[in-house]
Amino acid sequence: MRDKSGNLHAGAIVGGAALVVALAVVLALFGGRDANAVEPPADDPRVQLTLAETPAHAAHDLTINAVWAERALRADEEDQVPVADLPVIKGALGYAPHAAPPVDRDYRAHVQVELEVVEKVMEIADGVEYRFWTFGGSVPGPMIRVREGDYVTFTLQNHPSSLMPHNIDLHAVSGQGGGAEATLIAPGQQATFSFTALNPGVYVYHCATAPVGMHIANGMYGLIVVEPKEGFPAVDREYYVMQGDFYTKGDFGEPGLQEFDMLRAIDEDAAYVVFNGRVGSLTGDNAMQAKVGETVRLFVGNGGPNLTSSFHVIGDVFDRVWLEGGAIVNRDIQTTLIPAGGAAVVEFDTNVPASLTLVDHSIFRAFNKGAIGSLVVTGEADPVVYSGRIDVRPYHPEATAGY
Amino acid sequence: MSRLAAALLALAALAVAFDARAETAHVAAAAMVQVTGGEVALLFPVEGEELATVAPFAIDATPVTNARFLAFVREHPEWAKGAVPRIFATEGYLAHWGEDGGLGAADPDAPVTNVSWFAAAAYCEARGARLPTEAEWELVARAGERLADGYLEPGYRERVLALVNGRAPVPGPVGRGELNAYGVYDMHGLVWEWVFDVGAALNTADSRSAGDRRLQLLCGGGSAGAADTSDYAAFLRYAFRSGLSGDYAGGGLGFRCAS
Repeated sequence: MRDKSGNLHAGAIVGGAALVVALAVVLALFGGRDANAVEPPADDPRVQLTLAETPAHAAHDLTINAVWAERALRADEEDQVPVADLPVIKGALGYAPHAAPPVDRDYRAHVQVELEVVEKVMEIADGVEYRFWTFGGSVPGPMIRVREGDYVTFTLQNHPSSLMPHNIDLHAVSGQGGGAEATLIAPGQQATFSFTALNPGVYVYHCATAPVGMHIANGMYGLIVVEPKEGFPAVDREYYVMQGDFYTKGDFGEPGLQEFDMLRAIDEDAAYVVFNGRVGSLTGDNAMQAKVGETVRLFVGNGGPNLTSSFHVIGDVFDRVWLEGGAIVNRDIQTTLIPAGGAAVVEFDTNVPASLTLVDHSIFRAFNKGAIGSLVVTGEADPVVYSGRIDVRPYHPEATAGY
Repeated sequence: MSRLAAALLALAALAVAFDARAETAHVAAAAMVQVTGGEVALLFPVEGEELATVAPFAIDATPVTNARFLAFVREHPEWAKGAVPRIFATEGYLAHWGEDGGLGAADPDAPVTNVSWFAAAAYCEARGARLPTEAEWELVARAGERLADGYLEPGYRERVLALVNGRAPVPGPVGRGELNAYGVYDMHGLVWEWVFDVGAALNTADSRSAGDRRLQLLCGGGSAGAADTSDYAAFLRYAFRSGLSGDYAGGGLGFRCAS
């Protein structure tokens, strides 16, 4: 038999579980956009209860989850504004490793985004060139960042010097091909379509022209972040990292202009697995920077085309992970899976100075194929959190074991 | 009539070419090559027509050059740069030529590009010829170095893909690239080429829905109805065609004629 406090504790767990179920049911019932069907939740006792009973150390996370629940529950007056009345703004882009700036708006907008497709030869490693097909001239393509509910007019431009037709499938788009059908264009053409960013989250975009795998394998992917209406919590630093696998005729490091190897791609036998399109894009002088005591957020995508990333940062723990870029926030994660064509948001508070190492913990990819990056944390040491080496001396087990 | 007329036209074309510049023997090879017809498996066969039947035909041994197209334009000024109505060609029409309507810096021996379907078809018609059909073009494109069916030659798919993927942004002279078993040059390594029935190949721009030829060229579903999912060069060709409209005039797209 349990004592009284034990019973209470168990009751709290059951109550919590019931609350989660209740919230899920409410979400399922009232998650739509019909204002008539939604009760204003500001004074919803269930949400209040969640927040009030949250232990301090978990407040941040549960606030986020509660905010998401609230988002679905809330009757949105701003959603009723006709598109024609929305303010028109230019979408800001972020070139890796820099994230696009936070949206910093509390209203819907009509966002205009332009993205140019460019085919160009760039280095994939020192002395190794590859004919990349790119969005915006870089791999990954620029990060697009909008706000949930935004009406986005999207223009894709295929540079006249291109040899191939291209298009774009944005995973954030609900509609035929995620925009692929609307945007298929020959070199020297541009095409425009529009969509409403219905779902918040972090989404991959990629070229979807046949043969799709080849377009992706040549570097045609990036991230579009749809911030929830409340925005992501403020952090000190945001970075943009995207993994991709590459298939070249020559093995890793073989110099010169390397051709795409179709058979190798079909066999999923990557010659390169890299962050941000290049071996060394995030190491040495290109390393990301942070200071002790800061909160760092990484928007991490995986363009593939083939390999799932076991994304890990050596020397820190992810305090928070938006799993798969969606609404669920997990805590205290060592390695998070990022599927090809998927993303995640990882956050960590930097505690001590260190050179943190980003890897795909499918570890031969890091050590032999390029999937390695650095985030250098500078500042004051805290020997309680991490001492560094205290002592080193010879070790003679036979002496102590009595042999 | 046609044989004599074609011969005369070829002679006339040759004379024009010689007039334009001292021509190489390679460009003289622009005479037509006879192709025995046959059956060809298109990448996206129409249901019930897994093999397209192609009657015997003739096709240009090389793409039409800038010099030859200039001669055509001089005889048919309605197709001159700046004279063509926009419905027949976008503003990119002959953009690489000089402003005076001459070749400017363009290589006379390079394939003419920045030509619309309408202009290409008019050129062929003026020669008493026509654009090749997709099936004809694909039949010739499928030839290997020694065999009419290149698929039977080891490394054919990889070789063709490398040719397509390794094209120079500005194409060089015709007749110096790959030569196939029919005696036809440059099917893959120089430029894309118009076909007569490009509209019939117009798959819609999103192809992940399997089963419908019009919905086959984009994303993963593009492979669902394909005859050979490892012929990436063919995917590139079909995808290119599916993005085209007849007025399109782009730098990487030329043509050759058939009859």
